[in-house]
Amino acid sequence: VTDVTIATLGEALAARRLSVVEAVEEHLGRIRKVDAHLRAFITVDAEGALATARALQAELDAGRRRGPLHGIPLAFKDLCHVRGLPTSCGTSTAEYFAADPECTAVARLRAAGAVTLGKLNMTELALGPFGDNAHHGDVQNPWKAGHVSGGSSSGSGAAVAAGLACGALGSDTGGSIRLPAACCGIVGLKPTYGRVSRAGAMALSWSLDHLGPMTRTVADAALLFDAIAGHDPRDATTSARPVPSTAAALGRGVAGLRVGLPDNYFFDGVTAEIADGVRAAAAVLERLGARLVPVQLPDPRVMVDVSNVIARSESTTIHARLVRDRPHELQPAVRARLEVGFRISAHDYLQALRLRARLTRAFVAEVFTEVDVLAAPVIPEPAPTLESVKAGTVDDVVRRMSRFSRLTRPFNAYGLPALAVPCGMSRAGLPLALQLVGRPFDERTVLAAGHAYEQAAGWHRQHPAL
Amino acid sequence: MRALRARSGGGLVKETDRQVSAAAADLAAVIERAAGDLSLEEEPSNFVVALERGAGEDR
Repeated sequence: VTDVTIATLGEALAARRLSVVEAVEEHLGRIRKVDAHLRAFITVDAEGALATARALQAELDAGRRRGPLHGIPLAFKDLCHVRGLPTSCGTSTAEYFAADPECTAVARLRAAGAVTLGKLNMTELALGPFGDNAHHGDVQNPWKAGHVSGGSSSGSGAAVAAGLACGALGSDTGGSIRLPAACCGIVGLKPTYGRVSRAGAMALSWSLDHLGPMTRTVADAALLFDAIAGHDPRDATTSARPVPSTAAALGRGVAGLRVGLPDNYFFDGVTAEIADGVRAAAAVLERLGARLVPVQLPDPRVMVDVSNVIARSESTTIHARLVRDRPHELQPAVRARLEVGFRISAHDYLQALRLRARLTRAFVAEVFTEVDVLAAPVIPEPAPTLESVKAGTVDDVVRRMSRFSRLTRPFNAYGLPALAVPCGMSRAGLPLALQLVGRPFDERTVLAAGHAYEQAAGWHRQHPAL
Repeated sequence: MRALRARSGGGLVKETDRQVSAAAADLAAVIERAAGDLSLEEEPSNFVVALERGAGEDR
């Protein structure tokens, strides 16, 4: 039960080969068994999950099925406010954030029949790509103890990979869905900016934050995305564009699809294993009928600096009270990154926002006339050890953080849909990952390409031995 | 972006302060160089326009 996909479990529940209560109990049992080591959860709501499961089973018994997510056990990053549960945002304050009503994406999943198992560990304030947390414990990589899970949606990555939940929500401001997905060998989708409401989730940077699904397969990511996407009057940045079903488009394949392989930036400074894994994945897409196109991209380095100005300014503004009144509560690297925001002028912040508009227009126009999707690495190296990412001075730690997120951060600033899909294992037994990036609002093509690759390559059938 | 060094003693606070200011100054310099030729009509909300216009047909 804890190794199957959402689609498979949903069918078993619908056919009443298994009850919702049994499915939830299986997951709670697995959490009890392995999470003392993994540290994926901050809060487990066993009582609430079982009560919801009983109610959902009663609906099935009465002949009512809400859809493919009916009875599916999920968990949510601990910055999504869930009614009745505390939201620490990875800080030392149990109830750092609250929203009324609860997080829109969570509410949509619950309305679709999902069961909330609990709230997932994360980097403090979502400020860091590794998943270490001094307050709630460092999340362990399910594939190899002592290695990072990736962050900031660290618990989401580890919980899904380890079979503690069928799927999860993560948030992504500079890579925080895709990095833990890559490190943990699962699928993570950062949707287009404006596609999924952030209402009821703690903000780190209003201009760069995205919520999205983290699952074991692309098809499962499509199911969660279809449930949470679409306009929300509570989030003024959400687009009014209709959301065509991505799940329905998964099977269309990649014949004729133009897949761009960047000549610049994205393969610089990545390990040979990562580069080889991504190029091998591109070759699989080519065998499936896609056309590989080498592309010279507009230099993303300017956009990375622009996004740093925006992120630092907004995150410091949002969390100013904590930084000013209780700085001793923050981990040193988190505090250091936040303090920079106090020194950025309004002039530079606004210039950065204006530059972002120009750079995005140019990137979309130049790149997506040549290709339909880009293929690139997600992480520059397989998940490093927890010890290595925390070693040295704060200066060292912050520099490592920037380097680890350099391949994901540009697409937060461009606002483009970006998918992380497993594409192999390193010699040390850690996952490798492919990043597929599409046109604005074209999650369908990104997910269809990811699904075609995944089904051909089969990496999703591997599970960590815990 | 220039990063920051760990420190704890009071004598190092000023250095921390300088590092934070230097990191912000580095970012400001990048923005100043890149924004020199921004059109007067460019505004932050054009980002959303760029996404909507770049979307094309639903595929």
